Amino acid sequence: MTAVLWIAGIMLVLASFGTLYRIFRGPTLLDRVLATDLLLSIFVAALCMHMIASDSYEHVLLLVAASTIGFVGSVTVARYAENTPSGEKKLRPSRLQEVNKNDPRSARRLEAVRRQAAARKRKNKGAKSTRASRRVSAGKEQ
Amino acid sequence: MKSFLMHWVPSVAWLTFVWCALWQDFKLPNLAMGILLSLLALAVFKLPTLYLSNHFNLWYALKFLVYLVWKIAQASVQLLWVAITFKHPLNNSIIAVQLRTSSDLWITAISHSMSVIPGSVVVEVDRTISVLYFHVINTETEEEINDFIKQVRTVETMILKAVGSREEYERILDDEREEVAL
Amino acid sequence: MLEIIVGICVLGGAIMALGAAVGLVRFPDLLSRLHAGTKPQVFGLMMLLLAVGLYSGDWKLAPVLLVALLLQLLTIPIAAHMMGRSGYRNKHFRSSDLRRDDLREVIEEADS
Repeated sequence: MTAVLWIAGIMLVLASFGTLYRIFRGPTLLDRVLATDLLLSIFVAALCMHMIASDSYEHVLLLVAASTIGFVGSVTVARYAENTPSGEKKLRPSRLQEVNKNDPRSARRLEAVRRQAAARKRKNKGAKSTRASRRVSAGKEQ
Repeated sequence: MKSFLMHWVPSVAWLTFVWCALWQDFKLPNLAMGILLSLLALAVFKLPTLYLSNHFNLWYALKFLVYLVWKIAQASVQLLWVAITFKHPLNNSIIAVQLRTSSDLWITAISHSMSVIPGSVVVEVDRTISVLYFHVINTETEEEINDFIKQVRTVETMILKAVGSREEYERILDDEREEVAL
Repeated sequence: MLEIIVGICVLGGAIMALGAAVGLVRFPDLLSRLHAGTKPQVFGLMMLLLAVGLYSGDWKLAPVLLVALLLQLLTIPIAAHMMGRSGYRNKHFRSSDLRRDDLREVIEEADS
């Protein structure tokens, strides 16, 4: 029995290394939440193996509590997850940010961001007009 | 009186079972305390009424349970195999499946069963027309997509046979007769 | 005899956990990792709880383990569904991965 428990324990340790890698690397928030949930599940598995090894079943309630708390945590975070991957920085020139006009690189970056914002505004305006015209025509049909 | 029994007894029974199980004590004082606390909880936190149908077929329910456990075991091993040995362009799909039932509880039961069986996750539920959208892993060919839709139909049939209401049960039997005739 | 069954169940549970972590590391995008991170978990925990129940040989533990199993079985699909829905709506996937996408037109129609 001890040999089996040792092998299973080593496998659980390797599994937790995998989840830690995903927590470090995962480009979005939801990846990290998922890996944390799996880490909690590995903790529950380790608790089961400890109960077998030491033959004392006092902490059975902890199994129930841990799974409930893991579920509540991941659902709450998934409800408020956001759009952008976290490794990418969006450069938005704010009024407080001073741009050195003599530095050619920052001037070029600022120019690129302004161009993207203008393109987005144009796209939104174009989409809004078709949405409004669709609603008007639908109203006329009814 | 009948509606009281139908709607409250299952909830009180389940809550009392959870209370006694957590205390690991099924003797009479603890049982009475469990019943009292569950009645109190149900009176304070009112939930909308659950329309259970009064038709519970034990044989089909047992068949469904065995099928579920077998599918969980088989598909977990398959998922492990895919996770270890897959070549990089992995083809997933999002498949829409139209269900035949329109009751809240059975749609939830079907989504739960399909999410627990590895291979598919329910991404979106369209409640008004009873359509479920599944995200399925590793669908290389059209055949596998059709196999998946057949699997959803099978699960739905088994659940409705076990606990469906009378009209749904008859609809299932009609569909089966049509399929046999084809 | 009982020890052999318990040993097999413990090893099975640990292999499932390891497989879930391997899937989490190897799969290319969020929606696939969702499968790998939640499905083998259910089966592995089932086997481990069975091992604990068999090893103790005590009937008093059976209801608690049953309640733990049922709670897990009820809550893991809900968490997977919430994360999948949020991940799909926020476009955390590459559209080249999906072979057939029935949901995109519906969402675009609903948004516009």
